[in-house]
Amino acid sequence: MQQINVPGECGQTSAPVHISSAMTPADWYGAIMCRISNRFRMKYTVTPGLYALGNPDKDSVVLVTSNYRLSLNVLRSALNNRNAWVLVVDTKGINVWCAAGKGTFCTKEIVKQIVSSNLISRISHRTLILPQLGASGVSSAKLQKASGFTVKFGPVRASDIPAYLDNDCKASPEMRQARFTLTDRVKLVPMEAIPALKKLGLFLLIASVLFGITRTGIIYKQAIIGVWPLVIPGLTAVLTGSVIIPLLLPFIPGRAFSLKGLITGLIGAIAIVVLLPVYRSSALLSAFCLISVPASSSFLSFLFTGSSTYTSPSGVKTELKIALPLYITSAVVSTVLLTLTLTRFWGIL
Amino acid sequence: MKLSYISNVSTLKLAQEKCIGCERCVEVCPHAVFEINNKKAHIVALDNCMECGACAQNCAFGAISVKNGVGCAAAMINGLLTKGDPDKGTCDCESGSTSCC
Repeated sequence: MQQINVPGECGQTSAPVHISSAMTPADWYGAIMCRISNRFRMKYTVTPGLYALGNPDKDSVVLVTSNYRLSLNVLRSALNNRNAWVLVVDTKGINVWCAAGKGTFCTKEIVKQIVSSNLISRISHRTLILPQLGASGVSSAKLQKASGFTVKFGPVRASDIPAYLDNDCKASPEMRQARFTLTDRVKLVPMEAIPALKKLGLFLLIASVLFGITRTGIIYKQAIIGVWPLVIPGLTAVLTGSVIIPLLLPFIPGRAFSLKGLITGLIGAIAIVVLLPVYRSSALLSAFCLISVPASSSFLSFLFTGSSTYTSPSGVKTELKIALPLYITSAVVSTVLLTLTLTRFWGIL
Repeated sequence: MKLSYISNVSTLKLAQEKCIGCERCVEVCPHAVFEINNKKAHIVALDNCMECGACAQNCAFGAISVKNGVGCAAAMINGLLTKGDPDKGTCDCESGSTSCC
């Protein structure tokens, strides 16, 4: 892909930047990095403005997207061997759906880019094709009034755009539905599991310091012996809440995400206690496992609502009312159990 | 397999007398909540509604109302903890720190 840089900066109208639908190794690298590193993802942007995909002319369609580089990449790669104008609006590097939900992919911003790119000098028609998932941020009636353009909503998925264009800009009911396929969910696993593992690491670090405390200072060996039994329950909670939930979402009973995570976590906790004698032989450790693992797994699973494509705020609020007291209670009980373990370990009790 | 979230909670309302059957709601809804019958929109799958607000935003006749928002637990917990109101929370996909959406 050619370098994407600075169209229309400082209000000047520069020539549209030419892009192609070919994906380079750098684009593939970017696509992978966006799924594993939030820091990378948040900086993976393109300059807003008008882009020429292939060799568009006065009759070519105008497609609108966000300035998240991954969004533009998915769009242009879906339009293999086609010519189109792509109007990239400033969403601060956030994808279309989230940006629409947060109000940055909006009527005003699209009007602004139409004007600053001098779009009307490039085309003879007056039709804009917006991504369907941008509709929660854009009022088509207001946009039509403000810009003079007829607004059409394309399909949910970029991969359906060629079929949509060939069908006289009409999307089938299937193209209009947001799905949440296994492939979609697999891609989300790293961004669920990595932050969870980081929090687990921090927790284990603090715990190991506490376990390592002796009269003569912090003993390294004692810290490891003390914290070791917490590692398996911790990893299990991350596995059941942040890996299994995304992967097996439709097959886990319950509609509430917190309930789904509680079920997988409980299975994980029971497996630990049944399979590992170290846990089975200690009442304290067994209790700690059976309480903290399901609760943590449920919490991690609940967070996955934000990445899903079908959860409503009213539903999340309903879950929250039941789940939050449960989380607080289990956090208190787990802390008490840990403190007991700790005092026993120190030889106080 | 169709994924279904918690039922009977959506705040979506349709005032059918204002509807002229323009089909915009059918076009923008990502979960096939609406259908047009006899030139009027009908809510046919309320429990599929994720309250994204696309329909209400795009109904030029003010026939649709919904308390829209993003169904994100991280945002609601943040809102509850920092502002005491789950609706006022922000999740990280806005300003950019950790993961969401």
